[in-house]
Amino acid sequence: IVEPCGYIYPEFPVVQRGSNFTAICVLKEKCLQKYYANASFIVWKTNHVAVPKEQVTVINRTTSSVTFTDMNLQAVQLTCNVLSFGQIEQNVYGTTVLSGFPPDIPTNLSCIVNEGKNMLCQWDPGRETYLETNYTLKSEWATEKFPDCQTKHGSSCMVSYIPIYFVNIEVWVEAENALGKVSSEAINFDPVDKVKPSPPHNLSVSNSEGLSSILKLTWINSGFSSSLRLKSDIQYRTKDASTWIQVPLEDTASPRTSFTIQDLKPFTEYVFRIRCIKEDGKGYWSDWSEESSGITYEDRPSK
Amino acid sequence: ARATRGCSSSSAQLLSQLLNQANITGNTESLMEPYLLLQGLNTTTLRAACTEHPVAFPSEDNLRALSKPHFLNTVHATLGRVWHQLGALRQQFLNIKDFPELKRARGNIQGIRNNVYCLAQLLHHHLEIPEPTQAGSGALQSTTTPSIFQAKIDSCRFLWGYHSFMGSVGKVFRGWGDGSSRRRRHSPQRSLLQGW
Repeated sequence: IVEPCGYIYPEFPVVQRGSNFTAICVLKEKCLQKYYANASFIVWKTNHVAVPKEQVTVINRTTSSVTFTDMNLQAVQLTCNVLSFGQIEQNVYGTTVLSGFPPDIPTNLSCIVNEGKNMLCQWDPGRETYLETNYTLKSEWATEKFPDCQTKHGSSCMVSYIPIYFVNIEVWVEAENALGKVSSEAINFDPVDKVKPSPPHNLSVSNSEGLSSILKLTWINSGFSSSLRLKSDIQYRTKDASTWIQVPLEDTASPRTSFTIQDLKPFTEYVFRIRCIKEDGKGYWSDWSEESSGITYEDRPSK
Repeated sequence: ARATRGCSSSSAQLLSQLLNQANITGNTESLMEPYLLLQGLNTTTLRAACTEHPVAFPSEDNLRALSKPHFLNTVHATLGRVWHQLGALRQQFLNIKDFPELKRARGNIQGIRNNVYCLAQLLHHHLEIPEPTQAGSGALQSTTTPSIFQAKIDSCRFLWGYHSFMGSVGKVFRGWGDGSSRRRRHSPQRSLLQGW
Protein backbone atom coordinates (compact mmCIF):
# COMPACT_ATOMS: atom_id res chain seq x y z
CA ILE A 1 0.00 0.00 0.00
CA VAL A 2 1.32 3.40 -0.95
CA GLU A 3 1.96 5.53 2.12
CA PRO A 4 0.35 8.98 1.72
CA CYS A 5 2.73 11.93 1.48
CA GLY A 6 0.78 13.86 4.02
CA TYR A 7 -2.41 14.06 6.03
CA ILE A 8 -5.33 16.39 6.46
CA TYR A 9 -6.37 17.26 9.98
CA PRO A 10 -8.99 16.92 11.29
CA GLU A 11 -9.40 13.66 9.45
CA PHE A 12 -13.19 13.21 9.43
CA PRO A 13 -14.45 16.70 10.11
CA VAL A 14 -18.08 17.36 10.98
CA VAL A 15 -18.83 21.05 11.06
CA GLN A 16 -21.82 23.01 12.28
CA ARG A 17 -23.51 24.72 9.37
CA GLY A 18 -22.83 28.38 9.04
CA SER A 19 -19.69 28.23 11.16
CA ASN A 20 -16.07 28.68 10.12
CA PHE A 21 -13.84 25.68 9.48
CA THR A 22 -10.09 25.38 9.13
CA ALA A 23 -8.15 22.30 8.03
CA ILE A 24 -4.42 21.79 7.74
CA CYS A 25 -2.39 19.59 5.46
CA VAL A 26 0.98 18.40 6.75
CA LEU A 27 3.50 17.03 4.23
CA LYS A 28 6.06 14.38 5.18
CA GLU A 29 9.72 15.43 5.01
CA LYS A 30 10.69 12.62 2.67
CA CYS A 31 8.07 13.80 0.21
CA LEU A 32 9.42 17.33 0.16
CA GLN A 33 12.60 16.04 -1.37
CA LYS A 34 10.92 13.43 -3.52
CA TYR A 35 8.65 16.04 -5.16
CA TYR A 36 10.98 19.05 -4.91
CA ALA A 37 8.10 20.76 -3.20
CA ASN A 38 7.01 22.34 0.08
CA ALA A 39 3.80 23.60 1.66
CA SER A 40 3.67 26.63 -0.58
CA PHE A 41 3.13 24.28 -3.53
CA ILE A 42 -0.05 22.85 -1.91
CA VAL A 43 -3.27 23.29 -3.89
CA TRP A 44 -6.47 22.77 -1.90
CA LYS A 45 -9.58 21.63 -3.77
CA THR A 46 -13.23 21.23 -2.81
CA ASN A 47 -15.19 18.87 -5.04
CA HIS A 48 -12.29 19.00 -7.49
CA VAL A 49 -12.38 22.79 -7.73
CA ALA A 50 -9.35 24.79 -6.52
CA VAL A 51 -9.92 26.85 -3.38
CA PRO A 52 -9.12 30.57 -3.83
CA LYS A 53 -5.65 31.46 -2.59
CA GLU A 54 -7.09 34.03 -0.14
CA GLN A 55 -8.39 31.15 1.96
CA VAL A 56 -5.01 29.39 2.08
CA THR A 57 -2.20 30.09 4.55
CA VAL A 58 1.29 28.53 4.47
CA ILE A 59 2.12 27.89 8.12
CA ASN A 60 5.61 26.43 7.64
CA ARG A 61 7.65 24.28 5.21
CA THR A 62 5.42 21.28 5.68
CA THR A 63 2.06 22.74 6.64
CA SER A 64 -0.65 24.66 4.83
CA SER A 65 -4.07 25.58 6.14
CA VAL A 66 -7.35 26.38 4.42
CA THR A 67 -10.29 28.21 5.99
CA PHE A 68 -13.92 28.18 5.02
CA THR A 69 -16.45 30.67 6.43
CA ASP A 70 -20.19 30.00 6.61
CA MET A 71 -19.82 26.29 5.81
CA ASN A 72 -23.18 25.08 4.52
CA LEU A 73 -22.63 22.34 1.98
CA GLN A 74 -23.86 18.94 3.25
CA ALA A 75 -20.76 17.01 2.16
CA VAL A 76 -17.60 18.42 0.60
CA GLN A 77 -14.72 16.40 -0.88
CA LEU A 78 -11.65 18.28 0.43
CA THR A 79 -8.31 17.32 -1.11
CA CYS A 80 -4.74 18.41 -0.46
CA ASN A 81 -2.65 18.30 -3.63
CA VAL A 82 0.94 19.36 -4.30
CA LEU A 83 2.57 20.71 -7.44
CA SER A 84 5.55 18.37 -7.74
CA PHE A 85 8.51 19.87 -9.51
CA GLY A 86 6.43 23.04 -9.42
CA GLN A 87 4.00 21.87 -12.06
CA ILE A 88 2.70 18.30 -11.86
CA GLU A 89 -0.28 18.13 -9.53
CA GLN A 90 -0.15 15.13 -7.24
CA ASN A 91 -2.92 14.25 -4.76
CA VAL A 92 -1.57 14.00 -1.21
CA TYR A 93 -4.66 13.29 0.83
CA GLY A 94 -8.44 13.64 0.78
CA THR A 95 -11.35 13.64 3.19
CA THR A 96 -15.04 14.46 3.33
CA VAL A 97 -16.22 17.44 5.31
CA LEU A 98 -19.75 16.95 6.61
CA SER A 99 -21.77 19.88 7.83
CA GLY A 100 -25.00 19.90 9.73
CA PHE A 101 -26.57 20.69 13.07
CA PRO A 102 -26.51 19.13 16.51
CA PRO A 103 -29.85 17.45 17.29
CA ASP A 104 -32.66 19.54 18.74
CA ILE A 105 -34.21 18.41 22.03
CA PRO A 106 -37.00 16.04 20.97
CA THR A 107 -40.43 17.34 21.99
CA ASN A 108 -44.08 16.22 22.02
CA LEU A 109 -43.15 12.67 23.05
CA SER A 110 -46.20 10.42 23.16
CA CYS A 111 -46.81 6.68 23.13
CA ILE A 112 -49.62 4.48 21.90
CA VAL A 113 -50.13 0.89 22.97
CA ASN A 114 -51.63 -1.21 20.24
CA GLU A 115 -53.59 -3.60 22.40
CA GLY A 116 -51.68 -6.74 23.25
CA LYS A 117 -49.20 -6.20 20.44
CA ASN A 118 -46.72 -3.40 20.86
CA MET A 119 -46.05 0.14 21.99
CA LEU A 120 -45.12 2.82 19.50
CA CYS A 121 -43.66 6.10 20.74
CA GLN A 122 -43.46 9.22 18.58
CA TRP A 123 -41.81 12.59 19.01
CA ASP A 124 -40.93 15.75 17.17
CA PRO A 125 -37.17 15.66 16.39
CA GLY A 126 -36.99 19.35 15.58
CA ARG A 127 -35.02 20.72 12.63
CA GLU A 128 -33.23 18.56 10.07
CA THR A 129 -29.65 17.86 11.18
CA TYR A 130 -28.22 16.82 7.78
CA LEU A 131 -26.09 14.35 9.71
CA GLU A 132 -26.54 10.72 10.69
CA THR A 133 -28.38 11.12 14.00
CA ASN A 134 -29.20 8.23 16.34
CA TYR A 135 -32.40 8.39 18.37
CA THR A 136 -32.70 6.09 21.37
CA LEU A 137 -36.01 5.61 23.15
CA LYS A 138 -35.31 4.80 26.78
CA SER A 139 -37.92 3.27 29.06
CA GLU A 140 -37.80 2.08 32.63
CA TRP A 141 -39.71 1.31 35.75
CA ALA A 142 -38.33 2.38 39.10
CA THR A 143 -36.99 -1.13 39.49
CA GLU A 144 -36.29 -2.29 35.96
CA LYS A 145 -34.79 -0.96 32.72
CA PHE A 146 -36.24 -2.10 29.43
CA PRO A 147 -34.31 -2.67 26.19
CA ASP A 148 -33.46 0.55 24.33
CA CYS A 149 -35.33 1.20 21.10
CA GLN A 150 -33.01 2.70 18.47
CA THR A 151 -33.82 4.38 15.18
CA LYS A 152 -32.04 6.59 12.68
CA HIS A 153 -35.11 8.18 11.09
CA GLY A 154 -35.79 10.20 14.17
CA SER A 155 -39.50 10.45 14.89
CA SER A 156 -40.82 7.11 16.15
CA CYS A 157 -39.79 3.76 17.59
CA MET A 158 -41.69 0.55 18.37
CA VAL A 159 -40.43 -1.11 21.54
CA SER A 160 -39.53 -4.78 21.47
CA TYR A 161 -41.48 -5.77 24.56
CA ILE A 162 -45.20 -5.93 25.35
CA PRO A 163 -45.88 -3.19 27.93
CA ILE A 164 -47.32 -4.27 31.26
CA TYR A 165 -50.54 -2.59 32.35
CA PHE A 166 -51.01 -0.94 35.76
CA VAL A 167 -47.35 -0.08 36.21
CA ASN A 168 -46.15 3.45 35.59
CA ILE A 169 -43.30 3.60 33.11
CA GLU A 170 -40.89 6.45 32.46
CA VAL A 171 -40.03 7.07 28.80
CA TRP A 172 -37.72 9.58 27.15
CA VAL A 173 -35.73 10.03 23.95
CA GLU A 174 -31.99 10.63 23.55
CA ALA A 175 -30.69 12.09 20.28
CA GLU A 176 -27.02 12.03 19.33
CA ASN A 177 -24.86 12.88 16.33
CA ALA A 178 -21.29 14.01 15.79
CA LEU A 179 -22.13 17.53 16.94
CA GLY A 180 -23.95 16.78 20.17
CA LYS A 181 -26.22 14.72 22.37
CA VAL A 182 -29.52 15.81 23.94
CA SER A 183 -32.33 14.24 25.88
CA SER A 184 -36.05 14.92 25.83
CA GLU A 185 -38.17 15.43 28.89
CA ALA A 186 -39.39 12.14 30.34
CA ILE A 187 -43.05 11.23 30.35
CA ASN A 188 -44.43 8.98 33.09
CA PHE A 189 -47.62 7.03 32.38
CA ASP A 190 -49.46 3.77 32.88
CA PRO A 191 -49.58 1.95 29.53
CA VAL A 192 -53.18 1.03 30.24
CA ASP A 193 -54.03 4.68 29.72
CA LYS A 194 -52.45 4.73 26.24
CA VAL A 195 -54.19 1.76 24.71
CA LYS A 196 -55.71 1.74 21.27
CA PRO A 197 -57.98 -1.30 21.50
CA SER A 198 -58.41 -3.67 18.58
CA PRO A 199 -61.64 -2.83 16.76
CA PRO A 200 -64.85 -4.60 17.77
CA HIS A 201 -65.58 -7.59 15.52
CA ASN A 202 -68.39 -9.91 14.46
CA LEU A 203 -70.71 -6.90 14.15
CA SER A 204 -74.13 -8.26 13.18
CA VAL A 205 -77.42 -6.47 12.45
CA SER A 206 -80.88 -7.99 12.91
CA ASN A 207 -84.39 -6.65 12.46
CA SER A 208 -87.46 -7.49 14.52
CA GLU A 209 -90.61 -8.85 12.99
CA GLY A 210 -93.35 -6.24 13.10
CA LEU A 211 -91.07 -3.47 14.34
CA SER A 212 -90.22 -1.56 11.19
CA SER A 213 -88.27 1.30 12.78
CA ILE A 214 -85.58 -0.56 14.71
CA LEU A 215 -82.49 -2.65 14.08
CA LYS A 216 -80.48 -4.47 16.74
CA LEU A 217 -76.68 -4.55 16.68
CA THR A 218 -74.52 -7.13 18.44
CA TRP A 219 -70.74 -7.38 18.41
CA ILE A 220 -67.73 -8.74 20.23
CA ASN A 221 -65.37 -6.32 21.97
CA SER A 222 -61.61 -6.77 21.83
CA GLY A 223 -59.76 -8.97 24.30
CA PHE A 224 -58.75 -5.83 26.14
CA SER A 225 -62.31 -5.66 27.48
CA SER A 226 -61.76 -8.78 29.57
CA SER A 227 -59.70 -6.76 32.01
CA LEU A 228 -60.95 -3.27 31.27
CA ARG A 229 -64.25 -1.53 30.63
CA LEU A 230 -64.74 -0.05 27.14
CA LYS A 231 -67.29 2.38 25.79
CA SER A 232 -68.45 2.45 22.19
CA ASP A 233 -69.08 4.85 19.33
CA ILE A 234 -71.73 3.77 16.81
CA GLN A 235 -72.42 5.37 13.45
CA TYR A 236 -74.84 4.42 10.69
CA ARG A 237 -76.14 5.60 7.35
CA THR A 238 -78.60 4.43 4.77
CA LYS A 239 -77.00 2.30 2.10
CA ASP A 240 -76.88 5.10 -0.46
CA ALA A 241 -75.98 7.96 1.86
CA SER A 242 -72.42 9.22 2.23
CA THR A 243 -72.62 10.93 5.58
CA TRP A 244 -72.73 8.97 8.81
CA ILE A 245 -75.31 9.54 11.51
CA GLN A 246 -73.86 9.54 15.01
CA VAL A 247 -75.49 7.68 17.89
CA PRO A 248 -75.13 10.09 20.82
CA LEU A 249 -71.98 9.10 22.67
CA GLU A 250 -73.74 9.39 26.01
CA ASP A 251 -76.05 6.57 24.91
CA THR A 252 -73.10 4.19 24.53
CA ALA A 253 -70.91 5.45 27.38
CA SER A 254 -71.02 2.19 29.36
CA PRO A 255 -69.63 -1.21 28.40
CA ARG A 256 -71.98 -3.19 26.14
CA THR A 257 -72.01 -5.73 23.32
CA SER A 258 -75.37 -4.82 21.81
CA PHE A 259 -77.48 -1.77 21.02
CA THR A 260 -80.84 -1.11 19.42
CA ILE A 261 -81.11 1.72 16.91
CA GLN A 262 -84.55 3.34 16.77
CA ASP A 263 -86.51 5.79 14.60
CA LEU A 264 -85.35 4.19 11.35
CA LYS A 265 -87.27 4.18 8.10
CA PRO A 266 -89.20 0.99 7.34
CA PHE A 267 -87.91 -1.48 4.78
CA THR A 268 -84.64 0.39 4.34
CA GLU A 269 -81.06 -0.92 4.24
CA TYR A 270 -78.71 0.64 6.78
CA VAL A 271 -74.94 0.28 7.16
CA PHE A 272 -73.34 0.34 10.61
CA ARG A 273 -69.86 0.70 12.03
CA ILE A 274 -68.55 0.78 15.59
CA ARG A 275 -65.37 1.58 17.44
CA CYS A 276 -64.36 1.56 21.12
CA ILE A 277 -62.13 3.22 23.69
CA LYS A 278 -61.42 2.80 27.39
CA GLU A 279 -64.50 3.77 29.41
CA ASP A 280 -62.77 6.71 31.10
CA GLY A 281 -61.80 8.09 27.72
CA LYS A 282 -58.07 7.64 28.26
CA GLY A 283 -56.07 6.23 25.39
CA TYR A 284 -57.14 6.16 21.76
CA TRP A 285 -60.24 5.15 19.84
CA SER A 286 -59.88 1.81 18.11
CA ASP A 287 -60.13 1.71 14.34
CA TRP A 288 -63.67 1.32 13.02
CA SER A 289 -65.02 -2.19 12.88
CA GLU A 290 -65.86 -3.75 9.57
CA GLU A 291 -69.15 -2.31 8.32
CA SER A 292 -72.25 -4.43 8.60
CA SER A 293 -75.70 -3.81 7.16
CA GLY A 294 -79.29 -4.79 7.76
CA ILE A 295 -82.79 -4.00 6.46
CA THR A 296 -85.61 -2.75 8.64
CA TYR A 297 -88.86 -4.71 8.65
CA GLU A 298 -91.70 -3.67 6.36
CA ASP A 299 -94.45 -1.46 7.73
CA ARG A 300 -97.76 -3.30 8.33
CA PRO A 301 -100.22 -2.36 5.56
CA SER A 302 -102.80 0.09 7.04
CA LYS A 303 -106.32 -1.46 7.24
CA ALA B 1 -43.67 12.63 49.39
CA ARG B 2 -41.47 13.08 46.28
CA ALA B 3 -41.79 10.18 43.84
CA THR B 4 -38.82 8.01 42.98
CA ARG B 5 -37.97 8.28 39.27
CA GLY B 6 -40.28 6.04 37.30
CA CYS B 7 -42.79 5.73 40.12
CA SER B 8 -46.22 7.25 40.19
CA SER B 9 -46.31 10.08 42.69
CA SER B 10 -49.81 9.20 43.85
CA SER B 11 -50.35 6.51 46.48
CA ALA B 12 -54.01 6.42 45.42
CA GLN B 13 -53.00 5.58 41.84
CA LEU B 14 -50.51 2.99 43.06
CA LEU B 15 -53.16 1.36 45.20
CA SER B 16 -55.61 1.36 42.29
CA GLN B 17 -52.95 -0.20 40.05
CA LEU B 18 -52.16 -2.85 42.69
CA LEU B 19 -55.85 -3.71 42.98
CA ASN B 20 -56.13 -4.13 39.21
CA GLN B 21 -52.99 -6.26 39.19
CA ALA B 22 -54.28 -8.40 42.06
CA ASN B 23 -57.52 -8.90 40.12
CA ILE B 24 -55.64 -10.13 37.07
CA THR B 25 -53.13 -12.32 38.88
CA GLY B 26 -55.70 -13.69 41.31
CA ASN B 27 -57.69 -15.01 38.36
CA THR B 28 -56.78 -18.64 37.58
CA GLU B 29 -57.62 -17.96 33.91
CA SER B 30 -54.43 -15.91 33.73
CA LEU B 31 -52.08 -18.85 34.36
CA MET B 32 -53.29 -22.04 36.06
CA GLU B 33 -56.17 -22.84 33.69
CA PRO B 34 -54.05 -22.62 30.54
CA TYR B 35 -51.38 -24.67 32.36
CA LEU B 36 -53.90 -27.40 33.21
CA LEU B 37 -54.97 -27.58 29.57
CA LEU B 38 -51.45 -27.62 28.21
CA GLN B 39 -50.28 -30.30 30.65
CA GLY B 40 -53.31 -32.54 30.24
CA LEU B 41 -54.41 -32.09 33.84
CA ASN B 42 -57.89 -30.86 32.99
CA THR B 43 -59.86 -33.73 34.58
CA THR B 44 -61.89 -33.63 37.79
CA THR B 45 -59.56 -36.03 39.56
CA LEU B 46 -56.34 -34.32 38.54
CA ARG B 47 -57.83 -30.90 39.21
CA ALA B 48 -58.71 -32.05 42.73
CA ALA B 49 -55.19 -33.41 43.24
CA CYS B 50 -53.98 -29.98 42.35
CA THR B 51 -56.29 -27.77 44.35
CA GLU B 52 -56.68 -29.86 47.47
CA HIS B 53 -53.01 -29.60 48.48
CA PRO B 54 -51.87 -26.16 47.37
CA VAL B 55 -48.31 -25.11 48.08
CA ALA B 56 -48.36 -23.08 51.26
CA PHE B 57 -48.41 -19.33 50.77
CA PRO B 58 -49.04 -16.76 53.50
CA SER B 59 -52.77 -16.88 54.25
CA GLU B 60 -55.11 -13.91 54.11
CA ASP B 61 -55.40 -13.87 57.91
CA ASN B 62 -51.65 -13.88 58.30
CA LEU B 63 -51.33 -11.09 55.75
CA ARG B 64 -54.00 -8.98 57.47
CA ALA B 65 -52.23 -9.39 60.77
CA LEU B 66 -49.04 -7.83 59.42
CA SER B 67 -48.18 -4.16 59.72
CA LYS B 68 -48.29 -2.31 56.42
CA PRO B 69 -44.53 -2.18 55.99
CA HIS B 70 -44.25 -5.89 56.84
CA PHE B 71 -47.11 -6.68 54.48
CA LEU B 72 -45.37 -4.87 51.61
CA ASN B 73 -42.15 -6.72 52.44
CA THR B 74 -43.91 -10.08 52.46
CA VAL B 75 -45.64 -9.46 49.13
CA HIS B 76 -42.43 -8.20 47.53
CA ALA B 77 -40.33 -11.12 48.82
CA THR B 78 -42.91 -13.83 48.11
CA LEU B 79 -43.45 -12.63 44.57
CA GLY B 80 -39.68 -12.59 44.07
CA ARG B 81 -39.68 -16.30 44.79
CA VAL B 82 -42.73 -16.87 42.60
CA TRP B 83 -40.99 -15.07 39.75
CA HIS B 84 -38.00 -17.40 40.00
CA GLN B 85 -40.25 -20.44 40.38
CA LEU B 86 -42.13 -19.51 37.22
CA GLY B 87 -38.79 -19.13 35.51
CA ALA B 88 -38.03 -22.74 36.38
CA LEU B 89 -41.45 -23.78 35.07
CA ARG B 90 -40.35 -22.84 31.56
CA GLN B 91 -38.21 -25.97 31.42
CA GLN B 92 -41.37 -28.06 31.28
CA PHE B 93 -42.06 -26.71 27.78
CA LEU B 94 -40.14 -27.52 24.62
CA ASN B 95 -41.38 -24.28 23.08
CA ILE B 96 -42.32 -21.59 25.54
CA LYS B 97 -44.34 -19.87 22.82
CA ASP B 98 -46.93 -22.54 23.52
CA PHE B 99 -47.50 -20.94 26.93
CA PRO B 100 -47.50 -17.13 26.38
CA GLU B 101 -49.40 -16.65 29.62
CA LEU B 102 -46.26 -17.59 31.55
CA LYS B 103 -44.24 -14.70 30.15
CA ARG B 104 -47.14 -12.33 30.73
CA ALA B 105 -47.52 -13.57 34.31
CA ARG B 106 -43.84 -13.02 35.05
CA GLY B 107 -44.13 -9.50 33.61
CA ASN B 108 -47.15 -8.80 35.78
CA ILE B 109 -45.33 -10.11 38.84
CA GLN B 110 -42.40 -7.81 38.23
CA GLY B 111 -44.92 -5.02 37.72
CA ILE B 112 -46.54 -5.70 41.09
CA ARG B 113 -43.14 -5.80 42.79
CA ASN B 114 -42.32 -2.48 41.14
CA ASN B 115 -45.53 -0.93 42.42
CA VAL B 116 -44.94 -2.34 45.90
CA TYR B 117 -41.45 -0.84 45.80
CA CYS B 118 -42.88 2.54 44.69
CA LEU B 119 -45.54 2.46 47.41
CA ALA B 120 -42.93 1.67 50.03
CA GLN B 121 -40.72 4.49 48.72
CA LEU B 122 -43.64 6.95 48.87
CA LEU B 123 -44.09 5.97 52.51
CA HIS B 124 -40.39 6.15 53.34
CA HIS B 125 -40.16 2.42 53.95
CA HIS B 126 -37.15 0.41 52.82
CA LEU B 127 -38.02 -3.01 51.44
CA GLU B 128 -35.79 -5.67 53.07
CA ILE B 129 -33.80 -8.21 51.01
CA PRO B 130 -35.81 -11.46 51.15
CA GLU B 131 -34.75 -14.04 53.74
CA PRO B 132 -33.68 -17.52 52.63
CA THR B 133 -36.58 -19.68 51.50
CA GLN B 134 -38.77 -20.92 54.37
CA ALA B 135 -41.68 -23.29 54.56
CA GLY B 136 -44.99 -21.56 53.99
CA SER B 137 -43.36 -18.91 51.91
CA GLY B 138 -44.63 -20.09 48.57
CA ALA B 139 -41.61 -22.15 47.59
CA LEU B 140 -41.76 -25.66 46.23
CA GLN B 141 -40.09 -27.94 48.81
CA SER B 142 -38.79 -31.07 47.08
CA THR B 143 -35.78 -33.08 48.16
CA THR B 144 -35.98 -35.92 45.59
CA THR B 145 -36.31 -35.56 41.77
CA PRO B 146 -40.05 -36.00 41.16
CA SER B 147 -41.43 -37.88 38.17
CA ILE B 148 -42.62 -35.76 35.26
CA PHE B 149 -46.20 -36.36 36.27
CA GLN B 150 -45.50 -35.46 39.89
CA ALA B 151 -43.61 -32.37 38.76
CA LYS B 152 -46.71 -31.27 36.83
CA ILE B 153 -48.94 -31.82 39.85
CA ASP B 154 -46.50 -29.99 42.10
CA SER B 155 -46.37 -27.09 39.65
CA CYS B 156 -50.14 -26.99 39.46
CA ARG B 157 -50.37 -26.90 43.26
CA PHE B 158 -47.86 -24.08 43.23
CA LEU B 159 -49.91 -22.08 40.70
CA TRP B 160 -53.08 -22.67 42.67
CA GLY B 161 -51.31 -21.41 45.80
CA TYR B 162 -50.02 -18.39 43.90
CA HIS B 163 -53.46 -17.42 42.57
CA SER B 164 -54.97 -17.80 46.04
CA PHE B 165 -52.16 -15.72 47.52
CA MET B 166 -52.82 -12.92 45.01
CA GLY B 167 -56.52 -13.09 45.83
CA SER B 168 -55.66 -12.56 49.49
CA VAL B 169 -53.26 -9.73 48.66
CA GLY B 170 -56.02 -8.03 46.67
CA LYS B 171 -58.42 -8.26 49.62
CA VAL B 172 -55.87 -6.75 51.99
CA PHE B 173 -55.13 -3.90 49.59
CA ARG B 174 -58.86 -3.35 49.13
CA GLY B 175 -59.08 -2.99 52.91
CA TRP B 176 -56.44 -0.28 52.74
CA GLY B 177 -58.48 1.58 50.14
CA ASP B 178 -61.77 1.23 52.08
CA GLY B 179 -60.11 2.33 55.34
CA SER B 180 -58.79 5.49 53.78
CA SER B 181 -62.04 6.37 52.03
CA ARG B 182 -63.87 6.06 55.36
CA ARG B 183 -61.26 8.36 56.91
CA ARG B 184 -61.61 10.80 53.99
CA ARG B 185 -65.37 11.09 54.68
CA HIS B 186 -64.99 11.92 58.37
CA SER B 187 -61.86 13.95 58.43
CA PRO B 188 -60.00 16.43 56.32
CA GLN B 189 -58.12 15.00 53.30
CA ARG B 190 -55.63 12.56 54.91
CA SER B 191 -52.98 10.39 53.38
CA LEU B 192 -54.55 7.28 51.82
CA LEU B 193 -52.28 5.16 54.00
CA GLN B 194 -52.93 6.75 57.40
CA GLY B 195 -51.63 4.75 60.37
CA TRP B 196 -48.44 3.76 58.48
